[in-house]
Amino acid sequence: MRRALLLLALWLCPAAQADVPAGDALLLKTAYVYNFAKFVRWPEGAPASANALSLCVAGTDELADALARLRGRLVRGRPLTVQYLNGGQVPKHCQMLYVAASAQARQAELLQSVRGQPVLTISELPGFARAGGVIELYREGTRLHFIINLGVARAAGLEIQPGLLGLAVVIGQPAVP
Amino acid sequence: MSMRKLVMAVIGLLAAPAHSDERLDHLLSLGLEELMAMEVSISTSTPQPLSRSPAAVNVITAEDIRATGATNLVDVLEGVPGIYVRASQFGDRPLLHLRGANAGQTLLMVNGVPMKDLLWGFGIYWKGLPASMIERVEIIRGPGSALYGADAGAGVINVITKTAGRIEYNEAGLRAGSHDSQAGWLQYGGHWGGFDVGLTAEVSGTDGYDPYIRADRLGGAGWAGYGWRNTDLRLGVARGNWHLHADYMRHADLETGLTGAGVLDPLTRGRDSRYSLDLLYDNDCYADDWSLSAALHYANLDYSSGAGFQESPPSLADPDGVINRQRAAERRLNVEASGLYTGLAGHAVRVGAGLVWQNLYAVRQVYDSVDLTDTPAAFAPEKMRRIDYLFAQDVWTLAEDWELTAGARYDHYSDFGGTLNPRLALVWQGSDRLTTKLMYGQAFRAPSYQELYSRTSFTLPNADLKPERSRTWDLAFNYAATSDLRLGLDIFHFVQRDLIAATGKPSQFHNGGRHAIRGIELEAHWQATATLRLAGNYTLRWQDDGPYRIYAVPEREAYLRADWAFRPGWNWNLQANWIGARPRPAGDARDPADAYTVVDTTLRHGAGKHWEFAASLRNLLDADAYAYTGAAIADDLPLPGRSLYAEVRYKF
Repeated sequence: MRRALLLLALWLCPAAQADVPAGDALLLKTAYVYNFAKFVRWPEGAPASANALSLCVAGTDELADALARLRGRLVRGRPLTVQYLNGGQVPKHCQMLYVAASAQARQAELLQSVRGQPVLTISELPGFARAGGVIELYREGTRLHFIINLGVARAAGLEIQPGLLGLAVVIGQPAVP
Repeated sequence: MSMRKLVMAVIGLLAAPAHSDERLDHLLSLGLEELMAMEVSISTSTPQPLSRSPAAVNVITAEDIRATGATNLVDVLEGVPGIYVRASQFGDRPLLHLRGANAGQTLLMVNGVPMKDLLWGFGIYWKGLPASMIERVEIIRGPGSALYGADAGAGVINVITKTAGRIEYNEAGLRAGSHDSQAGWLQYGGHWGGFDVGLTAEVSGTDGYDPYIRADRLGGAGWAGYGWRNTDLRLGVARGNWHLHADYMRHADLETGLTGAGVLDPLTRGRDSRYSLDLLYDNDCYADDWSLSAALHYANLDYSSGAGFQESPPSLADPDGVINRQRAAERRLNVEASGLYTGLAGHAVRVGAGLVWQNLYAVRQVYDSVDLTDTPAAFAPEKMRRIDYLFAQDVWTLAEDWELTAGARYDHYSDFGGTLNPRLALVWQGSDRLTTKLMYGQAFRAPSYQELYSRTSFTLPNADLKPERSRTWDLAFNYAATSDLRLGLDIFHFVQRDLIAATGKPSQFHNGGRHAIRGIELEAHWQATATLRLAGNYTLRWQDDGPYRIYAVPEREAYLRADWAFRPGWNWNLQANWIGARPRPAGDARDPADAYTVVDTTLRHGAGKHWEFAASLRNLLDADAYAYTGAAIADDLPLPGRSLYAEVRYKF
């Protein structure tokens, strides 16, 4: 709830949008998403379109827009592609799926559509990880943190490196030091 | 290209000027750990990447603490460049020396509130803080008085506790180990009726490692008892922009081992308690371009010698010896408000003001059966100190890669008057990889009540004392050699003036000393593979000889650490802390205190959904390690030998 209030406050607050740190926060979140990709191993034989790593984006929010800037960046030698899904489009051939704020109502449907498939789901929606998403990004004070639902990640066949787990709040499985 | 993609592309072009691409490049070149360390709140109180913050900053996270098996704040501070934790003979108190200075030049804060008391510094029975209540620790090496006021000449240590809204899981833990040590703790985070609630609690006890002293000041031999018990409770409640912290901590049955003068004291069982209330208001968008913070802090500290300090042991001439029983309490009230204005392009301006009332009361003393309470001979006067302060700081982005931070704080003390402490920091982000900082700051230490008003067996007070002052220049480089390897180099020149020391006969406190310390701090962090992380640092200092040098602090220190997550769910930590030799002052004929290395190792395993186990061996090689003492204890103070701890945690 508090997180939701905070997001709401940021949304309503013109100062927070205008000032430089807020812009940095967006860049910072983008860098987080990029790092998530670096620390995750997809199973062999996962759908890979010509070696690229596909980041799909459902809905719109600030971060959804900013993610376009990851296009062409290399993750362990594989270029990132960013694909924006239209209205009711179901994610296909995605290795990563970002669920933006405007897609909140479709969260359950989107998660269901990739259940058991090796798709790294990411969102800032409060409760996303508990609802079956893999990584939930949240802001606490002036810092960014994230929750990983390890149970969901394993069921999806994703291998998350200890380096990432060690920095996360881990739910859904044993916490790893 | 769909319409949406086209729109996105256009927006992307408009919204992302070239320089922000460079910033993204830079961010993408960093490791996740560095990203998470960004937006450090302590240095400018404005979000900042760690490498760019206008100070030499280190951050220790709860994860770091768990990996090393640390049970106390002071265990993890050893790994920070420039910090030396010295065991004091009186109660085995961990004194925190930064950059070779006296521990009184280190400002220790918990959630931004100074822990310093009026009479004793860190508290007469300072024992560090339990690791279980710490979310992270932020350390500034270098002066901090321009933001935080007194006692920040050598550096600032700010402990941020786990509190409401920040505790993501509940945990109960138990630990047992050498010297009959036990601890139990609990953390809880939840939501009750629209409020975030957080609770941490720890209860612990130990018999202490009880070193053998071959000859104390009077030539007596025996074990110095260092047992103690601790209780630490912290409750936080948060809603919207409001936070309330209610904290309680208590030391009991605290054996002091040796008196300050160096005589074995088997008698004293000290106790103290501290409770505090903090009400905080933070609003990121109080008005257009303004964010507002306000705080009300109240603390009460009460300490007592229990049955008394044994000032001199029983002898034939004096079969009872001399027993000194004393007790006192302190209150501290602080109100502060500050605002951050971001309406001017390229500037972030913070202004604030506050008031502190701090008083010593309920002073009681019975010395050798004579009641000195309410007489001028009592060990301290019941007095109030008031501090009024104002501060302002501007973080000015001069050019794309250049940032200038300029700030100053004025403090007015009711007892000695005013002091103004400015600072300047120029930060140049020369490339994606290299950040260069040039910094200057002034700082002060307020004279303690002991120095101002309190007569001891050895010293007379002086009510005319002025604060100690210092000036520091820092030149620092942060270099990201690769995305996995970060290097840091800091060169500093730290000059203290008006240092207070007891001089003359009878010995009385006076200002007058000058002491210069130059130093180099080097550090490296290397993510060698996905599962292996290495870190290390080396500190080298040159200090003026003379009466104002702290000979107990080494001029050279080194630290190495490895963390290896060799299988999922496992972590093996190995750390080594090397402390260089400590020479003696003129007139002390003893050989220098030898250098030593203490190696610790910790194995941690997360098993199943809820359980986590860890075992630690501290001083694995059973090295002979000594803390420097004055000539009264000729052999110095032996430090703990090899010891073993095991812990289990249950998460729910």
